Amino acid sequence: MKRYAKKCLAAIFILALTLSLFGCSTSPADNPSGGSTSGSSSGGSSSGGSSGGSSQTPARTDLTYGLTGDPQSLDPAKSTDQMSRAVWTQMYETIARRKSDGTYEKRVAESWEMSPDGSEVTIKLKKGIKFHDGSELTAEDVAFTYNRLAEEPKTKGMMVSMTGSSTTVVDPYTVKVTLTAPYGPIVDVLCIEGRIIPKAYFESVGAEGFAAAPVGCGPFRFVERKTGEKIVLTQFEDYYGTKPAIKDVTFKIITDTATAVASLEKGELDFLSHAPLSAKRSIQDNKKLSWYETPIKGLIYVCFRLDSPIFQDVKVRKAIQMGIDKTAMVIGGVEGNGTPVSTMIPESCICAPQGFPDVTYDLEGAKKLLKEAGYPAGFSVTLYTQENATYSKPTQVLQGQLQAMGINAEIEVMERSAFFAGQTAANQYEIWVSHWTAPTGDSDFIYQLAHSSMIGATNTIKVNDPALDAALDKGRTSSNAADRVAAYTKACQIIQDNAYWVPVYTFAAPCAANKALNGVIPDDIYVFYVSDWSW
Amino acid sequence: MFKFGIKRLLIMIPVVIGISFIIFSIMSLTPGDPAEMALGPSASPEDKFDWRERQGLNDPFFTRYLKYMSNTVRGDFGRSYRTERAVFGEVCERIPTTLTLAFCATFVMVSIGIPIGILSAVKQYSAIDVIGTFGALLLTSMPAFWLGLMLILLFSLRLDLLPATGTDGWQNYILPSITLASAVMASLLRMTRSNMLEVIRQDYIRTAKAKGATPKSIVFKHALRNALLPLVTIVGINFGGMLGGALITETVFAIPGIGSLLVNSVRQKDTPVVMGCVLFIAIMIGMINLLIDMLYVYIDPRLKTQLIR
Repeated sequence: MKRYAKKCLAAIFILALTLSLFGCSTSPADNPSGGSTSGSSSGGSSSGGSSGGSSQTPARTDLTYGLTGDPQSLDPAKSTDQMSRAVWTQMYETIARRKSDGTYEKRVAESWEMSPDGSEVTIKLKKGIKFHDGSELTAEDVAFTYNRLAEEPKTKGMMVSMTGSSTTVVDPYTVKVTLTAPYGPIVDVLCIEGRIIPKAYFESVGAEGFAAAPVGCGPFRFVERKTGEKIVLTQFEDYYGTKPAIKDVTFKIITDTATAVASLEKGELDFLSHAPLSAKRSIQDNKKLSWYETPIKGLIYVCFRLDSPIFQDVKVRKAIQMGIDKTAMVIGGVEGNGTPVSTMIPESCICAPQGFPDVTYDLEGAKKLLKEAGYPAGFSVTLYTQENATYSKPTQVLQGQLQAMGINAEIEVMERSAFFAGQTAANQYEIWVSHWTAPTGDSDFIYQLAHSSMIGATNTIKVNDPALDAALDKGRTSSNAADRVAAYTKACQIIQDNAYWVPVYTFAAPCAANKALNGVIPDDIYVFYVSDWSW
Repeated sequence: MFKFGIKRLLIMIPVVIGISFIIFSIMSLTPGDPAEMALGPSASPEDKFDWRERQGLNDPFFTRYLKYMSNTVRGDFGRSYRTERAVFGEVCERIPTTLTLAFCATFVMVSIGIPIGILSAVKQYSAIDVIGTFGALLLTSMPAFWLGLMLILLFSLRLDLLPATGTDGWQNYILPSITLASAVMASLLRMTRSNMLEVIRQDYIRTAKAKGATPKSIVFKHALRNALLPLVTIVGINFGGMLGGALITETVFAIPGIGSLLVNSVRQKDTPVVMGCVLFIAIMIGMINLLIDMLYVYIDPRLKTQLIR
């Protein structure tokens, strides 16, 4: 009996070992190790090596698009999250689409004209554009949409330039947007955020009805939604533009990124917008998949509480600025899939300073500065962070770098909402790592972080610098690109001289797709147009 | 029995109220600003204040709680801070999926745990006993997250037998059910085994053997029924736990259930949705406990007189 039991135990151990070895396997059996054509790009262009659809099977007309979160709302005025935006981009249209070369591809707008002082935009609309409910797009709809976006609590902050503005109907196909103050990038904001909805339909069904059955004038119309599971769109037959090659789009929500990658490998997904950087190698090695990436229009940076007894001293801040090894931060924070940045405005942003010189990494210099500031033995500080790896990983690396300078840093991990609340609380953190992405890709996003008028809101470090304010005001109100670049260059210089923040790195905005899917271009704010794709 | 059922339903009311008060208090006391989570970081302090005012969050704690409970009694569970949809609708959408997953996992748990437990007891120290016990222990020791991904890798990617994600058909529930059931199968198996061992050593079993009853009738007619009571309790408790505790399985297999809705709402400080989910789970567990008690009476009629008293 004992011998028999021992044999059984041995068999079970072998089985368990086999299962665990299987689980550690890194690449599927059908993938070659060489000859992969899916690469990465740092120049903002695709590198997927997609070479057209298979000649053996008829071209597909359906697409399954993987989302790693559930969209908050299908009403463009009720949310600002990227998952919702992924769906809106297919259903709604804006006045134009800004291309990577800075030119515009006109969509519902025929033309527009800025007033000389930049406080008014007159937009002429194309005629004959239909909404999904059959009604025609007119100036009434555009005016209604813009005024609503400027008033709704969830979008007001994003459309900050339009707060207090009014959009009026000049004639059935012309609107005038009147701002309270000149705003240079207003057209870019309208291109990204000004998704037009039909006024009459909205008023007939109400906000809740609209969110449940949204109507736009984009190439795809809404079919159904199962919350937390999927959203189904289909081609809009009366679309005014070129009919997309893909007729049916299903957005599948898979919050676990490992499962999303497995689904992509299995073929249950055709495109994954927020592919995890940890899966880069396995996707690149998979002959059926392509990996795309481009630097995100955002960054990771270190914040200081400027009224803190320690960090109100500019020498302490500059010491830390000098003592942060950004290359090590990139390796530790995003496994090398990023680029150190020298300014708070990534170079990929519209009107961003280019080639701005960075502070040289000098650990000994940092220690010397700390000594001059009165901290020869360093000091103790708590680094607050949240569970999200975007924040926690660079925080862990920062801890080590602070300790190298003689600063004893302890990490405290907060729950997500508590972490964000702590950034603006009365007893907020003294030093922490944060992240920001430019929602429209324009350098003006720095206004929200750095202008004194945003203290108590997004200016979490409470910086109040008149020279910085003036530079940001200039960048915001000017319509001239060269003037805006000069203004933001000055702003970045002020920030660096005072070490209000330490910009650390920007990282990749990756996506992955079936290799047979043509036309995929990585986007730095995750805006993808399925209508550009084909099998 | 009817009176017993009504009495138990009435007792559930103060229990549910107590649970709602505790959860409401926790959500109010934990740090985090629901206005910031709902409106985003770009919202101005004035907009956040206005939003809190509209949601009634500037009122005192007890005022808010009483308002919430009085609305709940009238069927209004509030609106999600995040999506602005009615909480009742959000929760109801997820109930069929959650119940389906829980039933499937319970079926797997019972259909594997109990028969192997019986065999283990009847053939104590045999190969089946060793393999069954060890196998169940192995499954329980594997983290659900890891087991789920391994099952996807094997059955979806390698063998292409089953889908990895979704809820489109019955095949979608196979892997999640195994993952969810594995965590609790060992306890059911071991409880079945120990109960059966205790029962088959009783005098009445020996008497049945002496009287010539077949092994099959001894096990299923005499022994199992007497060993069943604690097993029904375990199955019921685990079923209740699966209703709200299947978060990991739901996340790995992309199943939109109550568990994932609850945890995501906690993270977003979306109190109305949290309360809606918790109330649903509390009521369901209360109903399951009542059902278990009624099953007791069916399994062991001697309990009927005790319950009526």
